[in-house]
Amino acid sequence: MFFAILFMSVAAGVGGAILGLGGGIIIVPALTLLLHLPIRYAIGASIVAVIATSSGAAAAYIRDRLTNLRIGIALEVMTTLGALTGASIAGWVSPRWLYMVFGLLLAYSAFALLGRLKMELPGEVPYDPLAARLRFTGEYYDQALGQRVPYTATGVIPGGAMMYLAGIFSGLLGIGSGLFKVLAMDVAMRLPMKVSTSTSNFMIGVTAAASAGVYFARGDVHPLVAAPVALGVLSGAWVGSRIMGQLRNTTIRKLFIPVLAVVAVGMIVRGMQLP
Amino acid sequence: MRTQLDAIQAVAPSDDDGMMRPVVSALLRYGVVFSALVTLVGLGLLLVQVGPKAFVSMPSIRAPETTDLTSLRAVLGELVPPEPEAVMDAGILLLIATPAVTVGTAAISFALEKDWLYVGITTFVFAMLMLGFAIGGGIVPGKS
Repeated sequence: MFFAILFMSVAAGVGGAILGLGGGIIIVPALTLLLHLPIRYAIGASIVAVIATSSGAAAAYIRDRLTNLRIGIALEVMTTLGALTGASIAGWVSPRWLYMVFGLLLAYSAFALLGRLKMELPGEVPYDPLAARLRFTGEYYDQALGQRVPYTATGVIPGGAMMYLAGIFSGLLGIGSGLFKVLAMDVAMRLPMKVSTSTSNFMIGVTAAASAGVYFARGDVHPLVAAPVALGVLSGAWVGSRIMGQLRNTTIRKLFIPVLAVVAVGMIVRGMQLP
Repeated sequence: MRTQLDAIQAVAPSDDDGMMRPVVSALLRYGVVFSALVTLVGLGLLLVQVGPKAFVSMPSIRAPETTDLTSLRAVLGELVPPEPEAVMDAGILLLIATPAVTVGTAAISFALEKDWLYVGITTFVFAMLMLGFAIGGGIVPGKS
């Protein structure tokens, strides 16, 4: 059983590091449905998993200039404000509709991404004065393309609004919003896919760390569950961060779309099942 | 036509985060390795003190069997003499602290670059993180 948790966590870490997601989508159902652990320990372990995915890959991504710290930290403000809004309006809005609305939004995004399937790099993007003011620009060396890729962001306001929504969603439902963060940076801000996933990877760790204390104090972080999850995800994320640099942006997007579609369907189904 | 990239690069060099990048990266790497080692030591202690059956019986964790290690003080108190679960928790707490280290060093690096806008933004995010830790640590009454 210990090794089952460990093995599953390694897989979640590899996938999460490449796609910029926390892996809670994999960890929670796997621990509760397959291993029959209580839901609170599964959620506690998934918070630890998100931080492990983020920290395990961040050292490599920050060194390789894939993570844009300025973009990540500035957008983190929107996510944090969203999470505060979400926590304060909890109880006023029905989770049923939330699941449906976000499920439909994600399903729509999956179709939007299909149109960008063949786009390796965003190229020249429309000028955005706010992106210039916030210095949302950078450059990284793409190992798959064998060239330096300078980039700059556009659509800061729609991107920031999506981050705010992502924050509301995680504040209300406690689900990591890595999917939404990657979408905001890829679709609205038109950053290279690798920059989007690794900056999202950095951000989800910060968001999860802010709420981890609450779960820990509640006793939801059980050491016997969280320890194998932490070690498994850390090693998986380390491997994932090595693989991701070699992949093409289009390949990452191809891996991202099915995950998006599955989560979208899962959320719509969950919304319909709720009373 | 002057592109946006040219416009930005005219004002700021493309080397955005300066020399702090390797420092932040190294801090993260050592922090993560250290937390993983502490967690591994905890698992090793469990193997020595309880034996291999502790790893097999893991699915028998049920809701009533809760952990009493819910605060930093409780975890530290159980470290001497080392209680396996407390050592594992110490490793996990170190892991939870690593994003705060990243954000903290980013704030310092922006201050060294005299980028005060980003010093402000980063300080806000760091304060939010600390607020989260404080709520978790029971210093501020949190929502249950």
